[in-house]
Amino acid sequence: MVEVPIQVILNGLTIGAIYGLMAIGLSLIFSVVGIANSAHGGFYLLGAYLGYFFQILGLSVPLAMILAIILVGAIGIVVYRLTIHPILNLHANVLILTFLLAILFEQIIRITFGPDYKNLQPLVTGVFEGAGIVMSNQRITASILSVILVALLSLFVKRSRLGKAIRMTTQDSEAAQLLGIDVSLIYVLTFGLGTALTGASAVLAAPLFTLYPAMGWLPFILSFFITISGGLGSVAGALVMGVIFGLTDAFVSYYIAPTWGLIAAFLVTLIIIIVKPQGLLGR
Amino acid sequence: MAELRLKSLTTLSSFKAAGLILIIIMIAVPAVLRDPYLIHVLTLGSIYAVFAMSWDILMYTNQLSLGHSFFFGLSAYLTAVFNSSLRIHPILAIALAVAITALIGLGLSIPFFKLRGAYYALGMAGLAEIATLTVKAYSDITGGEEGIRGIIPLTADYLGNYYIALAVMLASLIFLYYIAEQSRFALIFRAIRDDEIAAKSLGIAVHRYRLLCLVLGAAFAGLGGAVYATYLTIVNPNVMAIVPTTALVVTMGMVGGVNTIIGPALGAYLIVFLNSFFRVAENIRLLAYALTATLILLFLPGGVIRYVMRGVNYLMRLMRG
Repeated sequence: MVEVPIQVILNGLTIGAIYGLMAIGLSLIFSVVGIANSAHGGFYLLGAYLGYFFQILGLSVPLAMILAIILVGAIGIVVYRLTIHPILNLHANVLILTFLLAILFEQIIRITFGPDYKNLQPLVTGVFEGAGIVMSNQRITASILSVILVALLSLFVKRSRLGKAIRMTTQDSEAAQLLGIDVSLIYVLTFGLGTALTGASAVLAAPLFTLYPAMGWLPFILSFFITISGGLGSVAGALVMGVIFGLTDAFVSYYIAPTWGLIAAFLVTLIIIIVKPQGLLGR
Repeated sequence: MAELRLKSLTTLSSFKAAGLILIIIMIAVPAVLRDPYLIHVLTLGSIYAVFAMSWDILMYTNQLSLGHSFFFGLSAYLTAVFNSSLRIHPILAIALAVAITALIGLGLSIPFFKLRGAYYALGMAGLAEIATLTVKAYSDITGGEEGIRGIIPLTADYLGNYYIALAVMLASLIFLYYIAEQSRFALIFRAIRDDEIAAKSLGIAVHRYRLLCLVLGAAFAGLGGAVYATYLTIVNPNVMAIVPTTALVVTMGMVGGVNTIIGPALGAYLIVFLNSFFRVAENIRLLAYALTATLILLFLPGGVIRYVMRGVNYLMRLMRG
């Protein structure tokens, strides 16, 4: 009977890492640009469906993935420049605008690809069996790649010149401007980077689930709860909360019922937010 | 100051006149147009108007919600359970559902008043999403994806339903408009909306007014949801889901013009009307609304109501000579 909990723990850890990556895009935009991007789920949806589109065009899986990620980032930049940037200081309007954008994306996808379920080919196929554990290879690969991407982002923000400019802008955008940093440019690039990361989480996670036009809402709500409960702008916080979320989901799904897994995980996050509004690892 | 008051008085009277004419038209519509489908559309419009106004009252104290379908759906489900499963009389079921929804709104203020701005809006969205998941999961009572059927309507007569919905809408409109724009709260709300900290420093108990708006928002969304359930005699998880229900109410508010109470009500009728005209193009309906709302948000902030009021004022001036 020892094997089963190990399987459950691994289920939770792997999905948790993927949840962490999902949340990073939202967290980055929230903390740097200062806007809550309600279209986060829309970009997730675009990433998954663009990956699907390139796959049915006949491109290889890795190429389709990379193209989808780049394209989601590019769409993010264009959308930001055309719609969000002009009203950047009107926070409530940005919130409603991005909410409407998410609905637009969902409807465009529904009209283009139809409302029925689709499947995204995984990066690696097959199932890993051994040591009493059964797990799809895609799940293992996706979670490892998620951790690597989060680590790379963390390194990029800490070490690179652009990353330093991003951190400066986050701390004090006016002072950054005085020091000759083009704050508008930083915002555009961060928005593009955030949406590209969301796209990456989509092409990694979507093969584990199914594709349908309303698929973006759950990752969006989940990302928001993980971002807030982990501490806004905290990369490690997002990953830790992602894992807590995933573990709760996995344990409740296993011991009670799969339908209650996500609900229980949300409640745990909600309690963390109420007890510690600044987030688990927030300053 | 006197000039300002005078100006607001003249616009108010022209508004009152226009409103009165509109009410008479709304009451007379069934006598002129004996088209059951049109009457059905107008009935739905009235119900959504109540819902849209309840969303708007939250905005008066900076409580943008992106999960307002939670209260609408909760009350619709409560009405359905009370009426269809427990066999409680529809009127009592509606009253109970609205009361419970208002109480839950009151209770939710404890966690939610720790949140501001985007956190509040998206926290509400999370609430609606979790509630929708729960409704789908707890199928013993809620019927899961299928929902609940066989709710006993208040009346089977479509004209009766039209007048019930119209009466509920008018009562809600007058009450909420009075609270938000005419009562002693109006200036307080404006002060809170402009600058919460400044309002607090002037001795306004901001918390109390936020609470008032949240409870009113929950109660009237509940009223809309309860009437919706008894009118259509069926509920399913869609009434609680962010898409389509919150998406609809946000669109109605943006198209009509927020922070006006009347605007969102107007927006509700407009969207429900468009909905029935676009029946042929079912596929692109929601896309069309979201696009319209986005364009209005970017290029005509303030919504349709601003232009309607301008038109009314212009007509009034013409009539006065």
